Amino acid sequence: MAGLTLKNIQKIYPNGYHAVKDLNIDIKDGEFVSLVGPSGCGKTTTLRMIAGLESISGGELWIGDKLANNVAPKDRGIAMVFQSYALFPHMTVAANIGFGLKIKKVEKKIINEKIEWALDLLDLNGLGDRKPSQLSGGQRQRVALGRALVLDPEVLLLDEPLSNLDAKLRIKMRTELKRIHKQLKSTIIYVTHDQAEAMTLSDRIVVMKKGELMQIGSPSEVYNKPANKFVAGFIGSPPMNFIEGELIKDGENYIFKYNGNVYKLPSYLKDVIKEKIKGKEVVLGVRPEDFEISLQPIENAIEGMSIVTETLGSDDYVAVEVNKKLLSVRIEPDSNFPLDRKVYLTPKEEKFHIFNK
Amino acid sequence: MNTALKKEDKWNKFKEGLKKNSFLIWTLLPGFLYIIAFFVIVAFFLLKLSLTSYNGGMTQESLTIANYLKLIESEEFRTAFVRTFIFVLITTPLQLVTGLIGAILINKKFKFRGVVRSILLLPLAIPTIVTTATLLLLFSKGGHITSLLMGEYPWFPKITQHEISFLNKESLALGISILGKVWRDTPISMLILLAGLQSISEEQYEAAKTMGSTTIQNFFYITLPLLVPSISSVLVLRSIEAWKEFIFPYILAPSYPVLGVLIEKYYVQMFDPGTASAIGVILIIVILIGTTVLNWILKKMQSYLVKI
Ligand SMILES: Nc1ncnc2c1ncn2[C@@H]1O[C@H](COP(=O)(O)OP(=O)(O)OP(=O)(O)O)[C@@H](O)[C@H]1O
Ligand SMILES: [Mg+2]
Repeated sequence: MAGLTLKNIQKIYPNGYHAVKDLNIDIKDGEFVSLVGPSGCGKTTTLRMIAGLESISGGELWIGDKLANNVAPKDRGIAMVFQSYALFPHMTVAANIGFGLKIKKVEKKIINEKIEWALDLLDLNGLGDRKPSQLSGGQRQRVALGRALVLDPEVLLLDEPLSNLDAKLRIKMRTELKRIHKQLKSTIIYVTHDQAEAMTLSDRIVVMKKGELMQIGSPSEVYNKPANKFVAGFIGSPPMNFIEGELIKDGENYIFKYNGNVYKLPSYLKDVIKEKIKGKEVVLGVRPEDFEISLQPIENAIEGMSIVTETLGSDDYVAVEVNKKLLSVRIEPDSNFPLDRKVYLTPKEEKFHIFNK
Repeated sequence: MNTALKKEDKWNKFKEGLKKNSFLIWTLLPGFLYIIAFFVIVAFFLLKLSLTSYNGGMTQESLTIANYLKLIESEEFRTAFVRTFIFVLITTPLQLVTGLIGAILINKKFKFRGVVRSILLLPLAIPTIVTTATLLLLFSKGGHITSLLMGEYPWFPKITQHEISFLNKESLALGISILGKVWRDTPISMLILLAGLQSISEEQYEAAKTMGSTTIQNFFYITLPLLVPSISSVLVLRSIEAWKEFIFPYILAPSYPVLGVLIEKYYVQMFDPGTASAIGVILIIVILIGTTVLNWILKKMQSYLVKI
């Protein structure tokens, strides 16, 4: 088993595109780490550099205690599931899964056992003799997963392995992945678009944007203490509400001025502002579930109009227009919230985020 | 009564089907007519001709297998058949190998790839008659190769005293025909195989690479089985071409006729179109059997390569 260290990793493609900029990540042995970020931010590129399929333009990659920059892919102890599966179209499902073992000259009996194990684990029973072209997208994805799992890799690299599954199967596979991770104890690096998936699966989450590292932390860290506005907006669903405005010093404390209105900031924000904020222009951030909403006037509140309510399964939200923008606020389910009324919002204690604009 | 009704029913259904699929039928019609004109009719007359015996161009007898019997008894035919078979057995795999090497070469990215590709395609652009004439000039009595080997050029060491008559020895004459044939037709195999190679996604090799598959294993487990359709096209097309080869042996090895040359001999020189057609029919049958066997072997090979 092996940990993994990325030191100042860079990727510049031959056409000059700087896809990954100065990435520093330290992954512990056996850790489940997710790479999240919008499309094109360099997740696949990072994974391919770790796998050895893409040369590293700068920096150091350590796998275990070995500098791996120039180690051949097969000697890195990794297995990868490709975003586009990369199954062998001419081989049956079973032959696909067994291919790596056949190459490693494993005994035939053991190969067959492993294939059976994988088919069973991935709910592919009875499909062993089919060709990939006779499978659904989700089934193909699971075959790709099986092909990697049977190799008992020290580091498992997964590039959006669940993206094509339906919601139900995806949740089942999430649980399976967690179980597999527990059972195999391999280090897993997991690329996904889906921040909810990253939150439920990972020990730590790496948030990237345009090739740059935005934040690394446990799911609760990136959720509760986002390092910047990008992370705050990317993690969480529905996303965090943002209000733009400016900061005015008022003795010891600060006042937030937005569109002619003012709001006195609580005193605990003082230290955060001193530490992080540069300049006057700032953005306040509050998650939908962190607002108290009231129909009675409250002193020092953010005023707005209730516009519509919507329900997202278990939770109901009301959209409140503040400053010509809609904020989403969680409300009691089935509360029949009155619309087109003036409402007063106050963020809950310690649930206020403030970012540079 | 009942059956008559059924018949009418069927007829109506048939008419309905015609109406429904009229677009399909009209679009397929040209292809259908083409097959009738250039295949069915030709094959029919060929068969009819082969069953007609001409006795020295004077009398003729229809629906007889005399031509076939004559051929089976003819020493010349049997030798030509074996000769043609050997010709097929050598040129077909050889063209596959040269085509594959060329295709793999220009499928890689390197400087001057365009130039190399053009050079490899050149043989196609040269008329066959020019190619054969060139080979004739090189290898015939007093030709350049003989002069070269006899030390008539100052920059080349003298290798032999006696003139080698390349075209008067069966193995050499046929060998040179094979050389010309392979050289001329390699680009066709190469293009077919290149298309096959380019349809294999790079990611499959990458996936195999992470599993430790070597270049040679990649070739046998991924490239080769995925190329089977292209390989099959090459082998089928090339073997058919080789079975009915005419121009190279006709010019370079006239004393050692293959079946194609024999057809010309019967038809043109001996005024015996019946026997010539019989050879043609035999060729068609042999080719049909040959391609069936070939495809069967390829399928076996593919399933052997991809099994667990
Ligand atoms: N071979 C290449 N040459 C040049 N640029 C490339 C190459 N491959 C990827 N890129 C660019 O690098 C950036 C990162 O690509 P990458 O595939 O890593 O994104 P990603 O985060 O995996 O996105 P997605 O979530 O859509 O899969 C993209 O802007 C892409 O256009
Ligand atoms: Mg990607």
